[in-house]
Amino acid sequence: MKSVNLYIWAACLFAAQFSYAQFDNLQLGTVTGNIESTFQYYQPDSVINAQVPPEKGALNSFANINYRNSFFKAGVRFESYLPVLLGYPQRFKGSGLGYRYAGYSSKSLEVTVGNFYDQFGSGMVFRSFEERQLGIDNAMDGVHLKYRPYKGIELTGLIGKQRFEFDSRLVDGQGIVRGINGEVDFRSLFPVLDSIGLQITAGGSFVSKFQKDQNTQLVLPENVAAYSGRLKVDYKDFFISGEYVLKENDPSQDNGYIYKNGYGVLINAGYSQKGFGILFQAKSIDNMSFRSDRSAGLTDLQVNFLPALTKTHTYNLAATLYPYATIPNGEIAYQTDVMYTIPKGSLIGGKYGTKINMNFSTAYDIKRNTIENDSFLRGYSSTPFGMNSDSLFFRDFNIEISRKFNKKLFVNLVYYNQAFNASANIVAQTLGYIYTNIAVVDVTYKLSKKHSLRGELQGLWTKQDKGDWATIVLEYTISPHWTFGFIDQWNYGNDLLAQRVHYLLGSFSYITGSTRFMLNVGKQRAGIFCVGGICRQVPASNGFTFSFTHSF
Amino acid sequence: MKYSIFYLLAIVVAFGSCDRVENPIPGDAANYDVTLFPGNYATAYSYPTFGSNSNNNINVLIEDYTGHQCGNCPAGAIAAKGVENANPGRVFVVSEHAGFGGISQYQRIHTPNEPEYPKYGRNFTNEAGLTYATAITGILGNPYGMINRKPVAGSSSASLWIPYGQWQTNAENILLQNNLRANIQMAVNYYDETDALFVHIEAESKTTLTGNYNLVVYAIAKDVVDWQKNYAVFPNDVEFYHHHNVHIGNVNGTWGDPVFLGEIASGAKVRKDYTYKIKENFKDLEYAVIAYLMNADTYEILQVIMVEP
Repeated sequence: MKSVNLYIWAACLFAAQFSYAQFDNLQLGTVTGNIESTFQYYQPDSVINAQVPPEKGALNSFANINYRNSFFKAGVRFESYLPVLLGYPQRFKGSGLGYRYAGYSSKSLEVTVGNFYDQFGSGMVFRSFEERQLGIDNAMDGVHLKYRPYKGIELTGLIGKQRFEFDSRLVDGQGIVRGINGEVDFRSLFPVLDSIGLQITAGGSFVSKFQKDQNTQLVLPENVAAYSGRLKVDYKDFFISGEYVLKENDPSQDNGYIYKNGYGVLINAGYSQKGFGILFQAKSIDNMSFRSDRSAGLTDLQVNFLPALTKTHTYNLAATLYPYATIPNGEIAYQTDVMYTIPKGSLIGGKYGTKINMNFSTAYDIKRNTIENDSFLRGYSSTPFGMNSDSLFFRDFNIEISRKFNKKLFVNLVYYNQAFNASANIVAQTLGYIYTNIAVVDVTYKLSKKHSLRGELQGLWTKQDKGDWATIVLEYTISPHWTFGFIDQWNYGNDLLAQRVHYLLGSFSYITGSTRFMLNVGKQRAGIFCVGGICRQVPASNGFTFSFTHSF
Repeated sequence: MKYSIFYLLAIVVAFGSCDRVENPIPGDAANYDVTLFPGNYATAYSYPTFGSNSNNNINVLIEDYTGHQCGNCPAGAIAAKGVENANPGRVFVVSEHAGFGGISQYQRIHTPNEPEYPKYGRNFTNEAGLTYATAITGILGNPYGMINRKPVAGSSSASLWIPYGQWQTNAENILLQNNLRANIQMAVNYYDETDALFVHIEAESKTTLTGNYNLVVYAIAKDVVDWQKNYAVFPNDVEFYHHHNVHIGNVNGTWGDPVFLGEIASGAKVRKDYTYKIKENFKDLEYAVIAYLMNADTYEILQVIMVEP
């Protein structure tokens, strides 16, 4: 009923306010979309503690259908969780519409009613997004306006609730989120800047959430606001950008119901030219968990997004055993990334050149100063970039060298040295620090024009947690349709002999046009899956997974 | 164009401003210090809520004005305890160490430079009790007391002070009449890490009340073993005397907090939250809290309850 009302309202809105628009010559319009279905069949395995739901099989399925005709746009996403795959939020169940919208879009104005995604600045003040692999979808459900009154100026206003559950239909959280954002591109306003290689953009945001105070013990702020200002300057090969966010008192489950203001600072600076690039990033956040429901946890109902200043690793052991997730209650992080290409034709660079990428990132806890007689529950005081040097959260140094030796052989070598505070990020079976060395050899050999073989050999060495690991990956590709893969992850250094398990997984995929079929058979170890500093616990499983994707 | 601007502005206007909460604790922060909670108050403290109060009985407070150097006072204490034991949950005794003029010879404390010290060295008095003894006129000495601060029924005297021999009769009269005009609910938590009492009270009018009514809350040490003069035994100086329900201080000031003013309809409720830090000379004991609703003009106690943590 709610969704029906929404569409009636949307129809009235368009009829009343946009009747002047040129809908007289409507064509059939265009329909685009995509379908993604993943079915997993589970089998028990007591050694790896693989879980099996009562249904033994589970399905996550999504189908996006978008329609556009002239200025009009509309779309839906049909979702099925029958039942939801293990590791995803278990409150996703049934089949129905999980996302629907209608809107109007012209050069100067965009209006959307229903569901929408958006982001202000870096996202530290507001980000509505879907990360399907993590089970995150905090889509807004309300009204969204984007208005460009003049070239180079863009204003955005939005109001709505956030998606929380799916029970054969979209179920929103309690809170209401309101926001405005302004962006100014000075190069568009003053073209002379372009001629001297200078580009300046500035922006500001205001976001407020409302949630009723039903607490008898505390006087909770029902309206919590956050503000941000940002500036980016590009000059020829250099750039520097910064954003500062201030969040007003926001007592919540995350921060232990303290009334301290939160803040976030993010600074990026870089230089790049052909064959060389350097990036420096610094971040200081404190008490920046911002949710539309103050009692929510995990990845639920987050209004903002706090980027992690770490390199996103792709190799299995580096990416999934001890990945770092942003700690919203407070962290100070730095990252430097250097890329250099040894010129091709040189003695060291070889015929095709050699790429070197060095990355160093680290994160620490903030320094919290005690407040004596804190009868107003401020919690503590802190200053931006005031860190507690004894409280390393994470450190990662890695170097990657990739080189194409000839038309058939490509080699990628990576070394990682990491220190991971398992007490801060609870992902391991131990607390305290885990120190790891990881090495990866990735070789691709092109057997013929259409046939190639790729092999990975990975090793992780640590004296903590589950000890040493090795991974071997073999992937045979017959372009453009077929890929056959095999992966063995072996926890050969586990102190418990019974846990020195081989996690064997075979895979096959077939691609034709925009359609892809994929089958995985074998064991998947329990671990953490992270995207952009947000992580999801993946339970151990044994069985097979079939997935299908298609876009149109 | 004008419509889009309109909508944008409408959204801006629709924004609630941010609610900046200076004091997150409901009620009077001056009397409720959350720093006395040993832990994260916001997440770990169990803040009680009160349901409907089904009590239909009036209770009685016997204020036994006594002194540790008063040899006749143990007889009064025995009389008060007897009434309390005979009416469990309905009659509560509070031992108030105060006398004529506030502090008389019977409440005198030996200081460390006196040869008798530490005998009678503990200061049993408290500011509120001493004030009552002078403000509520008529106390003649010790032991003397008040029974819900009502004069003797049928007496021509308006004095609230009653000799201990009449305490039982007056208490039983009040119980018999059972004229309940107000109810009180209370929850108490005690934390020995900080020597603090957290007190939560709901007062409710059971009939239409006219006048000014105060909620008064006492911190009570249930059993204090110390010197007491007792003429009923020999030697008269008893070292390990059990002082029962000693009033050690007021949680919310001498005369409490005004909660009902003017004409109050039946069923009106007031909630109050307090903290109390146990004083140095009464630490490491067992405690209780007595709360009563008092007519601020006549001192009459309409209802009283006692709760232990």
